Amino acid sequence: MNFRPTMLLVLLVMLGCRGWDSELVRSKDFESQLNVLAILSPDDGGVVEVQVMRTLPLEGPTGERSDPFTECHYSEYYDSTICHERTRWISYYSVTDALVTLSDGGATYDFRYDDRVDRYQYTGYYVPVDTNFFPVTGVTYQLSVETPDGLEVSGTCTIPPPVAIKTDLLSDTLQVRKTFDVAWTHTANYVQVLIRSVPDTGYAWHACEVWKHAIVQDDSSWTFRIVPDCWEEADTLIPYFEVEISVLAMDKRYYDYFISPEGGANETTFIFLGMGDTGRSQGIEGGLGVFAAYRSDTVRRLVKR
Amino acid sequence: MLAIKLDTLTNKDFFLHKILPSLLCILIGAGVLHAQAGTISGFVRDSTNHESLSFVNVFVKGTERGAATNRDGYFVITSLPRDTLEVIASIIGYAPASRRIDLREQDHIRLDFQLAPTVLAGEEVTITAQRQRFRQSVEVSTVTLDTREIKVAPAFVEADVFRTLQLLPGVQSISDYSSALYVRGSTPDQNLILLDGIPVYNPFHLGGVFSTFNTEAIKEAEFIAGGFSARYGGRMGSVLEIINRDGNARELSGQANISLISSKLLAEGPLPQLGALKGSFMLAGRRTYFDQIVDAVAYATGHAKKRGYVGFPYYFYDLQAKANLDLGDRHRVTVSLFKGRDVLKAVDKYDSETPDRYLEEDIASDVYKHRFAFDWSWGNTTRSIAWRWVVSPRLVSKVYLAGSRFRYGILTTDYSYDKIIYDDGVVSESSRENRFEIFDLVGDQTGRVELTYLPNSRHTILAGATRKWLHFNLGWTFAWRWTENGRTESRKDTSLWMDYRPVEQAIYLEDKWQVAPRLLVKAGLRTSSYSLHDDWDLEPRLGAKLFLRSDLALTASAGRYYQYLTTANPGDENFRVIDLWLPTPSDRSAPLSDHFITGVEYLTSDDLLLKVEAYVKSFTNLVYLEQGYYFFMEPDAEPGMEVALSEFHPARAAAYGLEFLAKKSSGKIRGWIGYTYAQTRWRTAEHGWYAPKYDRTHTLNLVADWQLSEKWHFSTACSYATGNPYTPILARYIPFEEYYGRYWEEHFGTSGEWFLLGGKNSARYPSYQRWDVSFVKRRPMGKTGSKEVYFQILNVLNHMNVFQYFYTEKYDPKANEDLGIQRSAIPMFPIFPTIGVRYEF
Repeated sequence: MNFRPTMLLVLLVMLGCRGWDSELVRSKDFESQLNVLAILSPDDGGVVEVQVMRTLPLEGPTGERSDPFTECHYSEYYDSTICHERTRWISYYSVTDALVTLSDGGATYDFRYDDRVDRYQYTGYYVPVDTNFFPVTGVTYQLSVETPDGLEVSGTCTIPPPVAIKTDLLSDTLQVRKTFDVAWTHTANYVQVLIRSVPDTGYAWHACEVWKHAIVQDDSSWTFRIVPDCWEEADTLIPYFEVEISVLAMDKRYYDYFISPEGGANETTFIFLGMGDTGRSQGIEGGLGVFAAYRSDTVRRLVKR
Repeated sequence: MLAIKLDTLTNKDFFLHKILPSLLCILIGAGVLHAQAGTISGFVRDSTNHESLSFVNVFVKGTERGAATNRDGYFVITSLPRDTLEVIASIIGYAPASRRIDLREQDHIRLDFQLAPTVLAGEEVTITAQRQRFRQSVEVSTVTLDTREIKVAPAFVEADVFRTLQLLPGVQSISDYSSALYVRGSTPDQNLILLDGIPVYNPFHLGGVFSTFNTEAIKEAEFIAGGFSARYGGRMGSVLEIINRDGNARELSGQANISLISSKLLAEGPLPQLGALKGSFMLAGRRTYFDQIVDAVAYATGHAKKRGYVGFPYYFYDLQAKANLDLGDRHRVTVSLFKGRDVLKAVDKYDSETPDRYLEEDIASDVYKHRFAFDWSWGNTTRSIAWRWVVSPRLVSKVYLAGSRFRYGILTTDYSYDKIIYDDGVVSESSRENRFEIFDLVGDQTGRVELTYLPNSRHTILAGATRKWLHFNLGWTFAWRWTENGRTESRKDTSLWMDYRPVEQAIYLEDKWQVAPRLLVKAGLRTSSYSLHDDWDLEPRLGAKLFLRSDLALTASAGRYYQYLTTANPGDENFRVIDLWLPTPSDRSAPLSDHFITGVEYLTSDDLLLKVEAYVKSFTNLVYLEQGYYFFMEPDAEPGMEVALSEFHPARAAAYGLEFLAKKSSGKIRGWIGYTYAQTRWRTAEHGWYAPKYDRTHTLNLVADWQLSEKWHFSTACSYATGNPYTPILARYIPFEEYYGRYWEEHFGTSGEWFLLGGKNSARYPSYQRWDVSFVKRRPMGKTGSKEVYFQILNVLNHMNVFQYFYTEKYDPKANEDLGIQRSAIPMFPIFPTIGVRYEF
């Protein structure tokens, strides 16, 4: 038992204070999958949203890659075509060379990668080649996405019947802090109601903000109260403001993918980095993503303070 | 027809008004009637301090009649011949005591023994408490740790009963940072932790690093990993019953212990004797002192006066007190008190007067004060009074009145005050105060009556009734107050307010029955009710022990266990500061668990206990809090409206396993080897079946305690376990989001980068390995005192045990590119030496 405790303590503490080792995480047996968004709606001016992305292994670059291009336009001032060298940034996740088609059992509609520079390229948008394509109520569409490296997904989706807010049951002018009912006609199980300040009313929108949101299940009305968040000056300046009341009737896939808390099997244990889940997939065969349809109706009302 | 329908059995009135009174009348009547039978009874105590001794072998020489003392040191021997007899009480570690009695003229003789401790052993009649326990106890999965076993096992900084229990088979720990017990698939909130019979709700300091129980004050700890009898209820996992010392009834004595983080002090002694009234007390306290050291250094160096100095903001303390008062030889009143508290408190002050910046303006003076205070404290308080009455030699009653209170609170206060006097004499005065508070209160007031009746040597009947008045109050408030020149505005929002006052009650009856010389059975029934539900729940319990030989027994146990309380902590967190307790909501069924246990026990001639047990447990109606939903805001929440914390989801679980224990409780080398094979799986709608965070398939522990010489003592603990599960990340992707929100014109888009996960908890951290050693040097001090210096090293091999992985992006600055995702491990305890000194006087 002849030892020098002090020396031993110092040695042990030094040994105990070693640093933490880091290691690159490798994706074992990684096989990329397609991750596709395809949303159709005859409402809101006709919605045909298609985005194609892919999964990436844990190793390798993340973020975006640069894609230099030349942009030219005619200048009346110089009376000539002027070109600029520009760079756009494309996400490593984006798939830009996929073969995307929608068919309704009869016609087939091809999609092309949307390389407009005024659109953020992060997510890989695809637009119909036929600009007149418009989703039709009751029609079942088949989606097919294929990539040159052999990845493919498919899915089917039927456009649901329209939804309509019963405007005759809703007052023309609403009063803050009083309760009102918004009712609609539709048979969807899931309805999303959104009440928000009308974005295009300039100062009033900013002065009195409203944002109310609810998910209504198996019902055709919702009772609400408007409690605006107003600037102090708005007390005297804004006696009325306008709100937009939207009702969005969605199919189950839409609900499960975007709304349902159970849809994603979330984890928050990846401290310092972010979130994760087991991969959300609704209506997409062979990959991730969502193929869904919705219907919506929107009305505007004045709100008296 | 004597048939009783099940719904009649579960009817509240039927039990309260028929069964309970009948039961009590029968037991009391029977006890009085049998009082005249030929018996001897009494208590066995330690002669040096008057502490009761359990599992002492008391027998009549020349006959086969005998009994073992119970936990109170009480024994009863019945059906004795009417003759002069020699009665002997013996247990290893004490000199046997012998008394002659004459039963020819008396039906009953009260016979108390005082045994003197001795280092000598070897009398042929001397047997160990372990052997008595082996013979008498039907309970499976039970391990009793005495004070020595608790104190000598290496632990973090200082001895800790929970750390010692973590080394037993069937008990798993989630990490070095937690002393919480995960028992046979059960979570810590499913453990019934009793301190002198009173439940304690959060028995931890510093987020679980230490338990609240001061080992100096503990007499013994009995741990039942499953299959516990009808006497225990309200939890469906395990039972840990900690018995504090009664206090030295002979003389005033004490202990002091100084470790790296805390000081402990224990004082015990006799109470002043008043006629037939005599008793003892025990008072123990502990406090960490790192905060005091930092403050002392800061004041000495002047740092304490600098702005921003907050010192070391954390400390904890606990106090335990117990007093026993004997009113004659048939009544004892015990009062006990426990208070433990963790305090994390910091205050930042700033005061100023007429700053230079205003001198050139029209301000004559400006007094400004700012206070920011953060007060986060939590702790338990328990108090109880127990009355033990030896009604007759065969009937003992106990009445308890107990209260247990846990409070947890975070309070932040931000206060500022500004008084400006302008050159023209105008005064402007304003103040602002913001208060944010989160609190959780658990109150438990319990009344319990328990009767133990021994009709003959083959039966020990125990009956009892208990009623608990519970109070849960969980809140989250924000208050704001603003004053300017006499005008005051204030607002208080209560974002969360849950206030429940359920009542739990139970009636139980059990009989330990010597069915045959080789067969011991304990059958019991407990029925319990919970005021948020309607019916009474039946909880049958059955245990049996079949002796194949005097040293070899087969054991089996089965039982149903209901639990009406739960904790609102996400199941995936592996470090929890505190448990937030909630009652089972009225719209959810009570969680329950069924236990099935079987095993073999073998006690060798040199007192080595070998035990193998297999268990299967099912858990039904469990609820779990969705990960990340700790403070989930309702989609439609407006200021002042409630926030749902009770976003519970249904779950069920199953656990099975095989355990092996070889335990030696006497001799120069003591300790145990424990091996556990365990499988625990939870099932939820979201994830299907998965291994919970605390699941460890294989666990092997070796604990040894070696008396090297009179002076030197060595102990060690060596652990190996399968790594805990975690959810691996497999790849990266970007999920789509709906932007149907406030500011977005686009309807759909993407969120940031997410991970694509493997199955929930489908990967495991590397295996857990740890080797701890402890040396103790003991030196006599004075006539009866001693001084012990102990030196411990935790994790001698400095093995890196992974607490959790965390992930970051790896970036190569030279190439200016991302390389991918890297992970690092947050380690558990590295090698950690500690030293301390303990005095007994």
